[in-house]
Amino acid sequence: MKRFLLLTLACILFASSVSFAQERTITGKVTSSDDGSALPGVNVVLKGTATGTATDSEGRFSLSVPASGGSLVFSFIGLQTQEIPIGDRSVIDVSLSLDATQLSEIVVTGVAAGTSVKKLGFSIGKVDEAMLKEVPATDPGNALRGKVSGVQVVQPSGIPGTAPVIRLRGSSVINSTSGGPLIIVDGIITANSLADINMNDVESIEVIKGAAGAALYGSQAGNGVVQIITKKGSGEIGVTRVTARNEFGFTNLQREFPLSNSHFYQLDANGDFILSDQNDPTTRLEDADAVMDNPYPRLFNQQQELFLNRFFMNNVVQLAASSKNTNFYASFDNLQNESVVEGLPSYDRKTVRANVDHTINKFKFSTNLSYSKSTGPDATERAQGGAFYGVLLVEPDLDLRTPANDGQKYSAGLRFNGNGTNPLYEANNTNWVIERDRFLGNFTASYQLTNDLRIEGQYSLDQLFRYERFFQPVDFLTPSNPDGTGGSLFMGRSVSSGSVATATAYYTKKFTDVNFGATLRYQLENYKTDGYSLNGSQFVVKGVPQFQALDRTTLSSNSSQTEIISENIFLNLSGDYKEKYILEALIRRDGSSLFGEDVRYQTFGRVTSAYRITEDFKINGIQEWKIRASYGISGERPGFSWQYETFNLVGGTAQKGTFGNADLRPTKIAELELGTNIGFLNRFTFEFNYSRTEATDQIFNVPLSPATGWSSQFRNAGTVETTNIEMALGADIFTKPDFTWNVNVVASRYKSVITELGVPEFNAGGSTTAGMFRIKQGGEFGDMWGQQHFTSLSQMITDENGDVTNIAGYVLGGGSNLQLDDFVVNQHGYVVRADRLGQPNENAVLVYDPATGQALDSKIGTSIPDLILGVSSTMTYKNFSLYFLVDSQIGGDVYNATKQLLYFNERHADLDQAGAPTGEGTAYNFWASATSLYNGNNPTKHFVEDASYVKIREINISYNLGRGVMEKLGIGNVIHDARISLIGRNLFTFTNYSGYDPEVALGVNSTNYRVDSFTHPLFRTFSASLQLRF
Amino acid sequence: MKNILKRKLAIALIFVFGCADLDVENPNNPDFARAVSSPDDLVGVVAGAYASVQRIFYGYQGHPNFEWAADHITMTNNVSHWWQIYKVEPRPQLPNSLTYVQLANLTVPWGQLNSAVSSANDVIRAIEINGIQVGPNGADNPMMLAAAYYIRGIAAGYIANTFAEGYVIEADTDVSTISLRPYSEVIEFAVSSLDKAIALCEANSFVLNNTFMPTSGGSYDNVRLGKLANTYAGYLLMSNARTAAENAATDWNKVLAYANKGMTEDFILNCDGNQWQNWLQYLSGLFWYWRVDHRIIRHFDPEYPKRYPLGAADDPGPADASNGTYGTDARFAEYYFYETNMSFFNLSRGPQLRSHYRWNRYPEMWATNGASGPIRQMFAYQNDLMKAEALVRTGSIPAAVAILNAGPRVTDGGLPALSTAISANEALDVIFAERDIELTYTDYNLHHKDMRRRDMLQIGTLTMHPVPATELSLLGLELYTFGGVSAAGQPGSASGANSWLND
Repeated sequence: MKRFLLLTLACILFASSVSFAQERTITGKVTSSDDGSALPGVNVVLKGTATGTATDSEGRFSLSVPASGGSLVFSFIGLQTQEIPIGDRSVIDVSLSLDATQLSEIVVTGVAAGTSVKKLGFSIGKVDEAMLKEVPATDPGNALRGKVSGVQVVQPSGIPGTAPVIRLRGSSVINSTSGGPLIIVDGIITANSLADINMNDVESIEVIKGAAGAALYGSQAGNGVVQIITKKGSGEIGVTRVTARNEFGFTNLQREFPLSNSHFYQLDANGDFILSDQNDPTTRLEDADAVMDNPYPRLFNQQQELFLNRFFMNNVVQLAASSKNTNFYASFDNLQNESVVEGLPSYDRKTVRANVDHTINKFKFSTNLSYSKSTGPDATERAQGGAFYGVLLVEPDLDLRTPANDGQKYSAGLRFNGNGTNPLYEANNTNWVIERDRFLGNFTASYQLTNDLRIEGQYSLDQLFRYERFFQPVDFLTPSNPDGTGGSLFMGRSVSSGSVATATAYYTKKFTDVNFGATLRYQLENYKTDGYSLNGSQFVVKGVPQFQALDRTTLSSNSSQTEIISENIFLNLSGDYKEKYILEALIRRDGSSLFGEDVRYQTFGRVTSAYRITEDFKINGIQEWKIRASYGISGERPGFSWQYETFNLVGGTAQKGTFGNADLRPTKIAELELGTNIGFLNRFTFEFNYSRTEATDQIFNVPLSPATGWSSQFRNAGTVETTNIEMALGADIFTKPDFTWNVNVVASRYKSVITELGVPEFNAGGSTTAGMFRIKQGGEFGDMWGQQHFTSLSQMITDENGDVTNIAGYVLGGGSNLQLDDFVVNQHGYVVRADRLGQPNENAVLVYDPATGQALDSKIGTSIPDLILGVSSTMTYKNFSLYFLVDSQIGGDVYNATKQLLYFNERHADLDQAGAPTGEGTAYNFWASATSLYNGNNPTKHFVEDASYVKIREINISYNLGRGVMEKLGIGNVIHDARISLIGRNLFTFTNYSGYDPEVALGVNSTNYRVDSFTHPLFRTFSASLQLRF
Repeated sequence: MKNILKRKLAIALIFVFGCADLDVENPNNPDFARAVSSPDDLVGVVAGAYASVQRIFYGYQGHPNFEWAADHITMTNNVSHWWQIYKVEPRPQLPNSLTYVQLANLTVPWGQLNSAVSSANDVIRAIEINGIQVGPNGADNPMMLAAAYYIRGIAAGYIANTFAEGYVIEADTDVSTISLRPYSEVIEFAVSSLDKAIALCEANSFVLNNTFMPTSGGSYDNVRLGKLANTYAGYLLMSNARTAAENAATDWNKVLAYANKGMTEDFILNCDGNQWQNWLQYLSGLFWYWRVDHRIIRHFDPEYPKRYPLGAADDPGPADASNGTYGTDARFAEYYFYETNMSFFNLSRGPQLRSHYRWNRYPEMWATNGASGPIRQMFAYQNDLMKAEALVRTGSIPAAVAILNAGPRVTDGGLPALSTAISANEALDVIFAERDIELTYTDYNLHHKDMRRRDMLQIGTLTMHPVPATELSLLGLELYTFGGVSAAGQPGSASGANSWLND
């Protein structure tokens, strides 16, 4: 396979460009009006035709035109377009000025037809190729980070192939099925992972952040829309371009979890543990003072043993061609990412893509096809077990590389510690892989019926084949099964497909000063899933990892199928007067099998308006100023099974499950968005948006009295209001010939409040944290609730007897009550019993609620940040370029459940009292006891940490060798240009957070449920790349 | 004209896909109509009720909690708040609130048991009220009804034994009109259901459908089921007392009558690791997980400390069974294993959690890789001990002593036979010690129920669970809870009057 890939690569590398002769040649040079510098990449097109080219690195162009001439149109994003009649000239030099308004781009997302940004009544974020190409992200989600305002991206796990979670303007749907925005790839509505998308194919990403803008997609798009647009052609008529890019590098763990290097066991004169049973190394005797200040006989850094620098590679070959009627793009991409964990399988992804569009008279056809195949690891995370638990629990005197007694390379249990398996053993002996085969394709045909009317039909398909396999061999060891568990095997296969057929009619008409457009679209959607799994344990034969080799009595199976059918139709009317007063209205009717049978059809829509002030008023220094307002309603569909009355089938028996709901409606998200766009001083752009969202008909699984036999029913019951403020500032600070520098800054903040809850308040967030996230009327979505310890005597409440009432065990008039002078604040800032200070039972004191007699239940933190910031910048000096992206979260908390369990297991660095003066060390019980800070693993304020960070997320230092250099080297006829880059991703994090990384969360709703719980740590990559264009 | 035609064509194209059929069936879970589309499908509904009841034995949601509180078993895990609520000293109040993070300890057994009652009523209603015939000419009706009444009685009995209140729902009850009834009424409903099952077993001959229970030795017939129902009726009735005073008011003659017709063989389930599991049993022998509380060890060595010493380096060492009140009980060495390795049982986790001893009986019962295999759900000896206790409490001490002398205390333990002249309290002490020793890890919260009806729980210990906050909220009732030293002696909270920890 590797050989085949190399051959393919070699063939393509030696391909050469092809050009086609024309009738008459016009040459010229395009320069910047600002400083006279040459402008490369400017599009030069013969007006009214598809004939065109682009300027080279020195700003020069050459274009064949008909003898009759015509006009040439010079355009480039960010520059003002110029149209120049050819006449009888053969040389045309042009000077283009900066279009500081940056509003001339055409967008296709959220609008009925391709529309200029300047005519939009709502906000749209766009990341174009110029920014995407600097540091190709591993997936489109990470490509958005820090580049578009109002976008929050959280990578909850470092396992390669795991797509990040994206939230646009926060989360307004509590029980979200999609959990994020609608993802569209070249018009293909997708329902599967972003990790399958090859970022090297992506030309731009458009982001509709609000429900109003997304109303075009109705009940699919309550959380916004992200559309990924892939590359189409070379952009130069008659030219074929081959691009080969190879990137190689390594991975590296940025930060380690702080662990203790001391213990509380007795040592002999040689520094070895004193045992009560010499034959049992677990029978260590505890020191009477219970202070962890004794050194280990030897020290290993277990994190450095497990987390290594591993390999990272990305190979890309792209072929792009454009002719008068056809654009063609094809690519192959090979990504290999080994993460940082020794023994974990590599994430390998290969993608191929072919995009073609062709015009024949009034017909236009296009197709976008991509296939992705990936094999990647999975691993036990967020649980007491697996490598990420073991690496922090195994004590530092134990050598992870000790062989097992039965000859296996590593031992599972070194000194018994329950679930604390040797992480190297776990990673190297558990084979857990996920394979994905993903096909994305569409075919579009359109026909220009009249000058005003065009019809279009499209069919798209997104199909994912997923295979998961978990295998542990017959001699697999665990600390509690030192003779082998007998092994286990799980296999699951599933296929999910989404096919969408769309028919659209576009009508456009220009009446002197008025432009009018109408679009009518019908769409039929069909989504299916079909899967099964089989698992069993206890191999009876060694070396045969198949089900027939298992004890048959352990086998169990499961299967499921779902089908969703939806249809929708919308009518969109848009108009403007002299392109300065802009109005648009949309009405959409959605029908879906997911809605209750009595409410199958639902209505959505929007009204948007914009006013371009600078079209009426000339304001010094301001080139463009637009104000806009929009109001719209979109939605989120219920889950597949939610409307149905169900009996649960377990082993062939039927038990009542959920009670059906024929009136189950989608959650509706209504948004008012107000915003402005300003271009000023010919070099700045500024955008500001304020939005207010009301998400009604939230869907909850409401418990029913089991006396009915039914456990619960899905009901519409609740409202969440979200306010959002966001801004974006772009600046071209320098645009000199040899030196350019641009900076983009994005910032946003949001707040989601549960204003109505038609069900009793409840906890969410899963079992890892015992559900600390409180869903409560009046509360914010993301609030953490739990218990806390006294940090000051002033927090204590006393009764008329002077007895402290808000502590455990208080009884009015009781003889065992305690008073204020029974307590002191210890050196760690917590209130403890005065008589226990410095004793083994020195415990922090839990705050109680005297009204209930139970531990105080109160808000202890929030997952929601105060501000999300991103700063990106590109500087060029001659042939050098420097790009960096810094992103930041200010405020917001992470619950460090990893730390809490490391307290419990006496492994966290906080417990390490080495260096404390004799007699002043604190006994480990202060941290580890269930009646002290560990607090029995209950959600506790001590473990809420500020998650603020500043990250240097991406850096690229490049040296560009342009066409001129290639010609000087004598290879200009083969290699068009080259680029050598040094690239870093996730390079440095500045934070007070104590864990691996403050960017950590649960796998479900990772933006709102921020919990650190033994996950695969995020890591950084350092790499170098060479890109050649032919 | 040509343009008009084109426009019409365009509009027609747009609507060519229109009006899709949006009715999609859920193929993964049947609705009521599909689950019970024929009379034979009622078999699956009964089987579902049995599975619901078994669900309370696994998942750590309810089952082990009270056995912790009874100081019968121990561990340092805080799953299900064993440590945080049920084993902490002094005992705290249970936070029965909508947001209590471990409310599943209450809601899971409450939900599963009430669901089982509902499913059983669905079947009883179909046959007795709607006239559905199961089997040829209704040949299976008696079997189905006996099975439904039996499982309804078991489910309602567990509700009565566990919760302060419950529902009394017959097959013809309108569930929209029901209200919570005290546990004293719920147990009457449970016992009457079992009485109906017993009557059906006595009047008919059948073999229970083999999907209902994976019983060892094949499916139960009407005779075996009848005996089992008698034992459960007596046991649930006997165990319903929350205090010694209530225990004294128990109808012991009725208990004795049930015991006399009760089981004569062990009730063993062959668990499949999926629907049929018993986590408490299958994990009971893990040396680093479950340990035996000192209270049990003291049955063999009354001089063994009640609690592990407080000092970090102190160690009580092994118990000496020769200190036994009646001599050395050979079962001590057989049933319990002394571990030098204290594993997770660190002092910081609390001395009340520490113990060197783990359970060592029936090693085949516990497996580390699954919950499959034979699980002893109820011993025939339990019926014997129930009978012995009923005999003592009805004044027939010699007959009770005869049962004890014929049992494992003498045959396995090698202890001398008891004198028939012992006092009632001496006989009861032996019976409860036997229950602690021989019935370990069998029925749902058996030891907690034994402790509460003698007032021997620690002060402030929960004697029962309140109705879950979710249910109270649905009914619009005020939330309430139990437990805590400040509530000692009030309903739901042990007085500690006869606490085993008292000197």
